[in-house]
Parts: sequence; C-alpha cells; structure tokens
Amino acid sequence: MIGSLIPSSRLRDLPRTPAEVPLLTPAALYRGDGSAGNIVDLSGNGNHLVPTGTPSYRRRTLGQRMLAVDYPTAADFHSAAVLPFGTSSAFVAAIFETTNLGALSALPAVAGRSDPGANDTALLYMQTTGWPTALIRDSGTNSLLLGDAIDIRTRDTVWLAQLQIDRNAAVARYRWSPFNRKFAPFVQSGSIAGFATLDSGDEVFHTGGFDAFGGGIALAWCMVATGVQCQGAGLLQAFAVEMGVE
Amino acid sequence: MRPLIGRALGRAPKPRSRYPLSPAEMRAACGGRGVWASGWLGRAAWGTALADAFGGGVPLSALNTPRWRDPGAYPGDLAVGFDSGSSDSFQAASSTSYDLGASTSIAMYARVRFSSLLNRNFMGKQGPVARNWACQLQSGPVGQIIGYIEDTPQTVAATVTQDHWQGGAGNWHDILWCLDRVNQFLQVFTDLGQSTAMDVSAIGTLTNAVPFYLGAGTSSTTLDAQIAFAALATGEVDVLRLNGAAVITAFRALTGLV
Repeated sequence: MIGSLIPSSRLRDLPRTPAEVPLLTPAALYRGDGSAGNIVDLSGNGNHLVPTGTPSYRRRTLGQRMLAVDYPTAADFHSAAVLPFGTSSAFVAAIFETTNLGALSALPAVAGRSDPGANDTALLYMQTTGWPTALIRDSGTNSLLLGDAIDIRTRDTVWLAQLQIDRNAAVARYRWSPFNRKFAPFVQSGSIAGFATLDSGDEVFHTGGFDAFGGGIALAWCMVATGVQCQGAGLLQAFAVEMGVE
Repeated sequence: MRPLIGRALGRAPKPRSRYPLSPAEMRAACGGRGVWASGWLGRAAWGTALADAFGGGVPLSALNTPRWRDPGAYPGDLAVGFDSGSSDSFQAASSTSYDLGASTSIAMYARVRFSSLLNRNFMGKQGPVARNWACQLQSGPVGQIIGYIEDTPQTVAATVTQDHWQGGAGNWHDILWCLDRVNQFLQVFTDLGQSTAMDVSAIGTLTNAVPFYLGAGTSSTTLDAQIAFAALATGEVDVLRLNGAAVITAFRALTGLV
C-alpha cells in the first residue's frame, strides 16, 4: 500500500501550530488526524469540537498523504458553540475530500457556523449536486448564497475551501482550490452590505453535517480567524499560494 | 512561508515570485545596481504599518483609510490600496527621513497599478510647502507619469509620455524615479518608456517639513491606486539612472512580471 511507504513525518506538514499558519493568527486550528473523540483546537484558544454520531477517524485522503476524519452521514459531525463571528470580519479554511460519489441525500457541510434551520449561517458546503456553495445569513433577513455549478465530486482531488467575511468591503468571498491544480479555483463573491450580526445565540461551529446539512466529506485540516486581519480582496489567493495549493 | 501542502503531497514546490527583503537582494534584483536603504512590501497585515523590509528603520504608518491585502502583481502577491477622498497614505514618522539637501541623490522604485485617471502624486515628499519631490500620474495626456522636483518658483519635471492607466486595464507598472545629483539630472523610467534627462542644476535644497509617503500624500485628495512594492536608494543613483531601462527589466523578470 502506497500510504504505508510514506514517512510519517510528511503527515505532519499541515500546519499544527499558529506560527505555521500563513498570513493569519488563527482563533481555532484543527487537524483531522486524531484517532477518536474531540477535535482539539491547536491554536491554544480552547475551541475544541465534540463529536456527534460516529465519525470515522484517520481516513487516508486521496494521494494518501493526509489523515482525515470522515463524516459519512448527516448524523456524524463535530461541533461546539464557539467562534461567534458577530459583526466582525472572519475567515474559515478547510482541507477536505468528498467521499460520496453517488447521489447525495443532503447538503454535505464542510465547515462553518450555522444553527438549527440555518437561520444565522456562515458555512462552506456543497449542494446535493456536488456544487461548491457558501451561505451567509444574518440575524435578520439578509441572505447571500455563493455557488458554482460544477460537481466537484468528479474532480478526484483534495480541496482547500475558504470563506471570507470582509466587513470593511461589505463583501463575502469564497475560493475552492483543487490540490491537483488541473483546473482553476472556483471563486465567487457577493455583497453583505447591511448584514447585521451573524449570531443569535444558538449557532455552533461545525465540521461535517449539522441539522439541515449532511455528510459526505472527510476533513484533514481546518482553521478559523476573526477580526480585521481577515479583510482584503487578495487574502484568499495569497493564502492558497502560501499553503502551496496554488 | 514554505509551501506546506505541496510538501505534504510530496510535490516539488512551485517556483514563486517574491520581492527583495534586503538591500543586497534589491541590488541583485536590479542587476547589481544601487545602494538601497529602505523597502516596503504591500503584504502587511490589515491595520498595520508597512515595515521597512530592508532594515532602514523607516516604517510607514497608515494615514486615514488605506486598504490592506488587495490582490498584488502576481498570484499570491498582496498590495496596499488607496481609494478614498481623504488622502489615504502610508507615511514616515518624521519629516527628517529622506530629507534631501542640495547635493543629495535619491532613487525611488515602485510597483503600482492605477484604477482611476487622476492627476495624483503616489510617492514622494510633497506637501503644501515650497520644496517638493514626488512622482505623479497625470490624466492629460492620458496616463503619463511625471517625476518632479520643486524649489519654488523653480520646477523641473521629467515625463514618461506613455499611457500607464490604459483605460483602467489594471496592469501593474514598475517605475524608477532618479534624482542624480552627481550628473545633475532628474529622469524617470517605467516598463513602458522613459523620460529625457532633465537638468536640475538650478534647483537647490529640497529639505522640507513633510514626511515621505506612499499614497495620496498630504496635499492630494483621491488617489485610486495600489502599490505592491516600493524602495528607496541613496547610493549609486547615477548608476541606476544610467541603466534605468535595464534595472526595470531585471526587476520585473525576478519579481513576477516579464
């Protein structure tokens, strides 16, 4: 098996300390290489995620170089009532692969915040068609849906997905970058002018499905940052380049 | 920052462009020319000063509301941006930094992109005072770049007549502005052309009470532009001027633009 021939040191190359994260100081830093239980926040801020259902641990991703926690169904996820975005700028990045190449019965969530009913939301996920998507909803009635009409499950690669809430520009942006570099990243943005707080008190940060969202991804790495450091129209591409994905 | 994921995949790191981080690297990037004193990169964190990457001890602090982390000149590059009507700038703390006496040579290098066509300074030491030196985009003739020095009532301007705005195409341009007091010439070079060498022997000291800045400065209003990199040289300015076109070509080849 190819994976068994890879030095274990390579599996440690994903950032595991705040100092190894480019451009941003994380409020939370997660790796999917744990063997059971919580996903520990490596940022030192204590934003640990607790499992629900039966996530599957230490799945080898495509290319076998990274370990990931697998969320096969909507009942399997990690979450905690942490990392409120409020009216601040925010940034979420996740490295994952899709695991369900058949028809999806729910919307596979990657990472972000949402609440029951997806009322107050800042989340990276996929449509049942496998299309990359992000949803931003505030505590009022404002809603922004970003998406590309491409089934990423057919691309046979690992992804770096990023979501940026840029309150200075009043814009939300996403960027889905394929590790295989065989095609261009998916990039979308939209206005969040007038958006109020993204929290009303019952949201959680989650990796994998939660409530209205489903399973179908395996997460290798994730981070969250908040505040003005998350602003700037060039941040997402620069982050992808610094991470070595683009 | 090492390319973390590329290494995780066992893939050779993709070659990446980056700007010089020391006077020696800047000199090398310019084909072995210039004694460089200060350099500033546009990839500072939001809300922070532009550190002097060359160790010259002249950080530039934000004035009013510039932007940080705009897209830069090559994939992954970042720039600072200026877009409001409130003289957005990054300025030195003291007006004594890079104050120019009557015999002081200096060169400015900048990688800049113009989003609107306005008569605006974008770097220099210019203000509501009698003595000034700066580089400016002009709206008429469209998009030309002028470098000027001024000891009122005398002004000398060196003009690169090509259009650097290009209809708002968003192209990045490299600009080298040289005040060569050895030979007493002011001359400006860009990736599109160069000015004639203008005699400055009649201009005396340029010492003034305004700080060096990138951006709109203190007397302009709206500047709609981005700067990804800038640097100042205080030595071998005559060499830089005599080889201006070659300096621009060498720098662009090493830093992401060919």
